[in-house]
Order: sequence, then C-alpha cells, then structure tokens
Amino acid sequence: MEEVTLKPINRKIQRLAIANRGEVAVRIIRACQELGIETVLLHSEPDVATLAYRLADRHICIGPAPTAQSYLNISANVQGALAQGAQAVHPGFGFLSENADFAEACAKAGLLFIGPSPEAIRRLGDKVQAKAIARKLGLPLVPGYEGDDQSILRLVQAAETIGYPVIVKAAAGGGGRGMKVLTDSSSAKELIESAQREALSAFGSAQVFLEKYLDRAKHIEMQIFGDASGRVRHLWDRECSVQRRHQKMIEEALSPSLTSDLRLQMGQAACWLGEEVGYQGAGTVEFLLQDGKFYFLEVNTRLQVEHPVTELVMGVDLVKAQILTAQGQAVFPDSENLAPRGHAIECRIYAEDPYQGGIPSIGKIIEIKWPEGPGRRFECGLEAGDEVTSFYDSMIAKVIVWDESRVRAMQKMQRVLADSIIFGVRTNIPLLQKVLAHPEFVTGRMTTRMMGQYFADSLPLPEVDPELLAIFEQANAKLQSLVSGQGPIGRGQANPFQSQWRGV
Amino acid sequence: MRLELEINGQKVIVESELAGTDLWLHHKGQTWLRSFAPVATRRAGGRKTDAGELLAPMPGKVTKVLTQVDAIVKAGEVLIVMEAMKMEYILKSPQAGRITSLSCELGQQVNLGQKLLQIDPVAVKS
Repeated sequence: MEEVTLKPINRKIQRLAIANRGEVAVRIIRACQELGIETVLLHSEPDVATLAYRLADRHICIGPAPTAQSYLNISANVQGALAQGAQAVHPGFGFLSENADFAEACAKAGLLFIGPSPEAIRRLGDKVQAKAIARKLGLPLVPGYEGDDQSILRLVQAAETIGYPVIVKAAAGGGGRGMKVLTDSSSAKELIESAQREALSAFGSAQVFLEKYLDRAKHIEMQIFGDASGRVRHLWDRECSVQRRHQKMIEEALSPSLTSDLRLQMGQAACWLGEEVGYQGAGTVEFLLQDGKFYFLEVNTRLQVEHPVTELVMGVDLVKAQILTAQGQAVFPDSENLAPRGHAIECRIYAEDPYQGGIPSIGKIIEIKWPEGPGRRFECGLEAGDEVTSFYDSMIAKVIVWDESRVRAMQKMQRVLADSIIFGVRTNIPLLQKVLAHPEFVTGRMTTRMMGQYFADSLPLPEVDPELLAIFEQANAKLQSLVSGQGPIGRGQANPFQSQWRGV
Repeated sequence: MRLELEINGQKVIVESELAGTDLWLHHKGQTWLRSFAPVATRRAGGRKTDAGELLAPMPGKVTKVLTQVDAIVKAGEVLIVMEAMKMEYILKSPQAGRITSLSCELGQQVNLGQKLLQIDPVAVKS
C-alpha cells in the first residue's frame, strides 16, 4: 500500500541533526539513510572515535566531554544544527530528549523537533502534572497523599489511611534522596520527619508526598504513537521488570503477565493520556502492575531505549515513523494488519564487572563480534579500537531477539549472548545469562524486586579447569608467535591479500 | 581472532586477542581475561592493599568524603562515595583503623587505582 500524504509535504527534511551519541545515534542515522535524509552528528570532543561519527554525513563538535557542556547544552546543540544547515533535530533518548525548553528552542530557531510539542512534553513529562491529568481521566493511580497540609499529624494519618508499606518522597526531588519506606505506625513519624529534613537540605523544600509502596510490582509500559492526523494509537505493551537501581536490564514484548482484558484497559488508558495533550510521535506510558491491578506511573515523552522489542513483534519502524510524522506524512501503511506476533526480548549490555559488584569497566574495545542470524538484532555504537570512557552511560549495546514464542526467544537469547564476543571491557553478559535462566524469569513471574532479591551480590568467579589453562597457554603461544612475526600473517611480512588487489 | 587449537587430541576453536599483556579469550560462552602483567602493576581497586591504602576501583568523580584524618573507622564503614557513568559507588572501609591521610577531595576526578586514603590498623584498640 502506498503512503498517503495527509497534508501537503511542505516539511520534507533534507538534513537532520542528531542531538545524541552511541547506539541510538547510529539507529537514527540508519533510519535517515533509508529515508534519503542527510545526517549531522552533534557530538562531544571524545566522540569522534565512535561508529555514529563514521556513519554521519556531517558532524560538528558541540563541546567537551562532560555532558553539561555538550549533550545537555541547549544552545550549543541548536547552534550546531543551524551551522550545519539542518532542518530538523532528533533528540534520541536521555540527554535533552524530554526537555521542553530544548524542543522550544529548536522551534524558535526554525528547527523541526522530532517529538511531541513543548507543551505536551511539559504536561506529561512533569510527574505531578501528569498525575493530575491521569486522575482527571480516571486512570488508576497508586493511592497516595499529595496535600498541602504538611503537618506531621496529617501525614501520619494519611499514611495510616493508605495502609503500610508507604513510601514518602520529596516533592521537589528525585534520585532516592528524601525517600523513605514506612512499614508500620511506630516508626512513621520519625521517618517522615527525617525525609522532610533530607528534602529541605537537598532540594530547599521540605514538601513531601506519600504513596502506597508496591513491593512486588511488575513494570509494564504501553507504546503510544500520535500520527500527523492527530490520532493516538498504541502498539501494545512491554515488560521491563528486570531492573536494578531503577535501571532496566531486560525488556520484552509483549508482557507475559497481562490478561487480554488488562492489556486492553491499559492500552485504552495510555491512548486517553496521549489524546488529552494532542500527543505527536512516539511515547511510552509506564504502569506498575501488582495483584492483578495496574497503576499509572509516568509518561516518557520520547523514543524508549527498549523500542526495538515493540518494533520486532509489531513489524514497524518507530524511528522512521517519528520522522515521517514530523514531515506530516502518514505512518504504518499496513495498519489494518498491525498485530503483535511472536515474542521479542532485549538485553542491555553494560560495560561493568559482574564479578566485582557491577563496577564500571572502561577501556579500549579490542574486539567486538556479534553472532548474526535470523531474528537477531544488535544495536551498538562502538567498533574495535573505540574507547568506553567514564563520561557517559555504561550501556554499550543492546541485543534483541525475536522468535515465535517466549520460550524460543529465551533460548535464542541465551545462545546469542553465549556467542557474543566483546574484548577490552568487561560486560554484564554473565549476569544476563544467569537472570535469563532464573526460574522467576523463565516462568514470567519476575517483579522489580527480582534483581535486589536474587542478584544483589557479585557473581562467583567461574572455575578455571586444567583444560582451560591448556587453552590459555596454546592461545597465548599462537598469538605471541603471530605478533613476533613468525606466524603466517605476522608483522614484517607482506599481507597475502595485498597482492590480490585488482581493480574491478 | 579465531584460533584453532588442539587440546588432548581434540580440536578446540576459540576466539582470542592479545592486547599488550592481556590475553582475552572466549570459549564455550564465557569470556576470560588473563593478565600477564607483573603483579606490582596490577593495583587492586576499592580495597586495601597490604599497605592499608584505599584505592579508586574505577576512574570517576569523588562525590562524598565521609571521613577525615584521624577518624577511627570500623570495617565496612562508608568512607567515600564516587560517581562514574551516572552511577554512584560506595567505598567502604576494608578494615578497622585510623585514617592517617586523605589523598582526595570532594569533586576531584580520580584515576583507576589512585590512592584515596590511608588507614592505619595498628592505632585501634577495640
């Protein structure tokens, strides 16, 4: 079916700037290449040694390594995009992707921001405002108290009404500061006061709010998409319960935990939220699910890291859809047949040492090889010779698989992880392998507490057997002999392939 | 690169690379790193050395210093908080003792294996 133009195409993008780095920058460049759009990479000083830099048609350095001076610098990004003659900016995820001021600055500079309007970002991105909208629409919220009466008496009373466990959070805060879990009335007063003190010292405001603490919840989210005609649809759900310190590790589509009834309700709720603000482009509505009930959590007004699992089960390209929507074009041409099929799993590969409590691992990538095959997708922004530095997020790649069922997808993922080769930095692959094999994951019963419950400690070091020692010795001897020039293509000898160069 | 080895008369195919003194090897779904560097150059991070030093386990920024010179600390007490790659890492005291010197300050960018402080175990009576 042909793509139908909804409005006259007066916004055809010739050149698009990418305000991001790493694997997502590569993802956006590839989408642009396929759509015939030139790309401009807005990059920091050290990021010249990345795949995105090599693939982009143009690049401009927007600042030094620290993110505050480069990837988070609004005017540097806008100026860079303008200087290179871009007409649009794709913010990727993280960095400025959910920053309404950036979306507004782009619009003011005449740049098309690939994402929802600044107003939609403001209304849904702000946690308190989004909750107010959700409440108005009748979405289930985690029971809580957000009142102005901050007297300790009122707060303790509210906690009793909500029912323990209750979590107290700083209204102005985030990142765990000013956050306490109340388990019973005897310690509630003391903990609330302590949270208020922390909130005051950390954020300059002692205002706190209370929420029912869901201690065995699943994280489930709905992918929504608002097209150029104003219609908001959903592309079903993902489950991301395997997370550690609020950092997701394994995601899948669809969730193995939803009944079709719940799934329909959550999809409908997510669309209502999007329609309420005139949402355009890709977005995600996050929910918590516990004891068969779902609660609205928050909205991410951008492309999500785990978008590939939705792409694989739905057979869509969300990044292209974002760009086409910004151009005023129709998306999902085969939409009457849009239905989930099979199962997809994504594992995030972090540069860290699972044998040492997950401390970050940095260094030069010596070798990186992915076991390509049907239903296997690898998103990575690094090649051999590139450096993993301590300036940016430690996620260096994503491995995504699709297969006909969840069981087969798990089997495929195990094999793919076992055959993935990354030399130069340590990775969480051994941890992912263990999590994938854990009965709680295998049966789909995992909750957001799974990692803390079963994988809080470092992994035990694997055994080195005599066979492995023999392999080490032989491999070392072979490689040493190649380095010293005694091998077939060692140093100091002509490359045997060199003589075979022919113009063709 | 892919290497074909012969172990106990059996053909074994592994992936392996040599980088300086490090041998990286991938075999049966597990990646191994064997360092042939002299022990003295491999300073253990985040834990004490024999000399009672606390070393940075990774490069990063010191975001909290929770102790001071002459403080008496217990084993497992949180001494320093570091941040790298957007994550926070808590460095605890590897042993009971007295802090005899501090070699880092708040906000400082430190390298892997850099000495952060010195603990003297002798000075403690418990």
